Amino acid sequence: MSHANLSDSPVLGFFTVVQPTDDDFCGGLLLLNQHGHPLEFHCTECVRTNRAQQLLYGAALRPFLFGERIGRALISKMSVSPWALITDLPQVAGLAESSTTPVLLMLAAREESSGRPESAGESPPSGAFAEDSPANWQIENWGGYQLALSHQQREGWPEIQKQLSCFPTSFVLDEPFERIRGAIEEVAKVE
Amino acid sequence: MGVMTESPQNALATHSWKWQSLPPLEVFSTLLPPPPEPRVLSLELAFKRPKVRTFRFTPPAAPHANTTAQSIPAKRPSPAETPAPSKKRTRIRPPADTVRLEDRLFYALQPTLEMILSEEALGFPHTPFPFQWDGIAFLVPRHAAVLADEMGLGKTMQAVTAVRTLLHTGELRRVLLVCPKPLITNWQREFGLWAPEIPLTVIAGDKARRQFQWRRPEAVVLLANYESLVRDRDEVTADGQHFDLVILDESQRIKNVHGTTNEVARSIPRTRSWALTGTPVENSLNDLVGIFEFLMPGYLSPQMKPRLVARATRDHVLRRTKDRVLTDLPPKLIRQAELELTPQQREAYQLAEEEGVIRLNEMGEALTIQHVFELVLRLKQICNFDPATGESSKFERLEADLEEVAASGRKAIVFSQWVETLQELSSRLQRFGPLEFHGKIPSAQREGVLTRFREDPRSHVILMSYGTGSVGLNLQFCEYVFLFDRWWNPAVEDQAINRAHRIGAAGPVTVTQFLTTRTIEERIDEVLREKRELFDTLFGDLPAPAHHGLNRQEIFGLFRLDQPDGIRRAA
Repeated sequence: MSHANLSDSPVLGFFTVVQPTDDDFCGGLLLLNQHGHPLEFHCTECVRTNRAQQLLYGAALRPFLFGERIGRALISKMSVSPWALITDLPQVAGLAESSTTPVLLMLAAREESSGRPESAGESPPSGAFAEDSPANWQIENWGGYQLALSHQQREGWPEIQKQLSCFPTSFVLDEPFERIRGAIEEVAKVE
Repeated sequence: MGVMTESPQNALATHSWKWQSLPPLEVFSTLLPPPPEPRVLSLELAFKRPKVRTFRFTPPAAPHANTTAQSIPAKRPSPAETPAPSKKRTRIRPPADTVRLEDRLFYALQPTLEMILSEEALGFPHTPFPFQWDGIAFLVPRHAAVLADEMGLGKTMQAVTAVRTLLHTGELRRVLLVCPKPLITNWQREFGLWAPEIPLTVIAGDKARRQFQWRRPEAVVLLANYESLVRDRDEVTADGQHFDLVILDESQRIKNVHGTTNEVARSIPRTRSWALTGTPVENSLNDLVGIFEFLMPGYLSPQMKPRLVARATRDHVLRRTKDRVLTDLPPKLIRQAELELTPQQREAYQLAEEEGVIRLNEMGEALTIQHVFELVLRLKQICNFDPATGESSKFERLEADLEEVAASGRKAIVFSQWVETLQELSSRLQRFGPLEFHGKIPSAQREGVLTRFREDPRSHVILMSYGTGSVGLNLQFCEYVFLFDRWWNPAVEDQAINRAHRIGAAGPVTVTQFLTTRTIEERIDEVLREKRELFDTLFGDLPAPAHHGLNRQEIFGLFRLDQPDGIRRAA
């Protein structure tokens, strides 16, 4: 990563992958300040998978692609390290276990699911549920959402919770994913 | 190889083998070619590291210091108290003329409008309607915009909230808002309601005071009327004067591109320009051209066809009608009361028309449009009251209807274009507690008149002139509107009607348009219908009409007069 230390002011990162076609995947990473305003946006070019990769990687395709390729490429471009990186992709457990930045998996909102984002995640396609979270991850509740975090990060939850509280109460965790998807669409229009 | 002897007794003992040389076996050898090496299909399974595009943004500074002086202190509930995520998410979309990808992404990546406004615990007295959120999101990113919602949909609130949003995100620091004089108090009230933390400076008083007000660097929102804008043009355009945003309310006031008001408005040093109007086109396409000369000089021309104008302005004009967005709004029932003139009125009318037309014909080349207008007005006045006897079929009908209005404890608005008519009605309708609101009522008293009408249960009717009472007033507690006589264009009539039929209306609004048959009013009504068609072409989906409004020929045509250089004949 090109960044050095965690930002002093609260910064949250959001990472997701969209799937414009059956074979293509584009990643987007958005850093927001404590007012929810964008600081940085990074997006990858579309990564096209071929049939052989789909067959031979099998179930490992998405975890590898999302975490090792797209996720790492995006994270390497951040100039500031967020307090936490929130994703709606259950497949990036590997990234969470190797990253110095806490990675939180956003699960379905407690209230209802109609507003969940559409992501490239596996079934169900629009947001993850607790049962989709990687094994042995810890589920926590915050601001109407369920967040899963890995074993290594379990002890850090109180601190993460404290940091999340710096963000406005109107801040809804699934909303920035809509922005990422909209931004990737804008980029796609000019490419 | 050995061979056994044939003696049996020696069979065991003398087993012996004789080796004989046998001819060598012939071996046939065939050299087999080596099997071909299998062809290997190699599949590329590795993924290259994807290229990453990076965009960095400078977030707005802390909310405007000046504007938060009176802001409501934010209380942050604990996560446990956090309300369920809001369902309505209004995104600020980039305008179509935003070309740079970085700029488009800037908008695409902003928080929702609801989040921006709730961030500082900026309260709202009422929850905005979804279409109002959309209107705010339309205004916020635009440097040139016309909010042309139908009257009653809350253009004022949307503009106030858009200004509030941009002030709090630091994108605005100094705003000039210009409106007709009677609406100054309305804007003050709306700012107090929707953005109480924003300091408002009303430009008023003598020259020295106004000069001080124009030059106050700490003034955030300056509120001026069109007259003071023109009067103080040197101050408005002085060196060093600059506004981040100029809003023209009731912007049809600058529809005449050659008028002084338009000229002064165009000369204001500014970054953004917004126009608010429920009637972007009152008479002709030129009205819209005049407004766009303020917004985007040279963008439209009077020669453009309506369809082309509609396409060119699509991203700059937002027009919603109550029918489409306020499905919950009580219905507006329009009924045309077609009335026969009383015998005395008819007699006076026929005499005036015949004499008038003869006179016009006799004028020959000296005939002007003004002469025709004078006759029209004279005839319209007779349609209201017989000048000799005071008889009036309209009044008889109005009086009867008001009986019902008063008996049910409701309130009504009566519009006329003449103050004299309103005063006459006032004297005749005393038992209904009439109040007058027109140009002869001093501005300082008008707010009091409205308050009294709103609060006094004995006052059942307010008598308003189109000029003074048709714009900006909120009288949604009235359920009846009477158009005692007709105005020249339907947009002004709509504005008048929408004083009552607007957000907050308690029940259906009944609009009664008085129309005396076989009179000039019928002919004007036909022209008004054609004007409506033009409006629908520009802001609706209807095909272009054959005629675009009341042109010179049509005015002469009201009496079947040709223009002075043509053939004239009596009606």
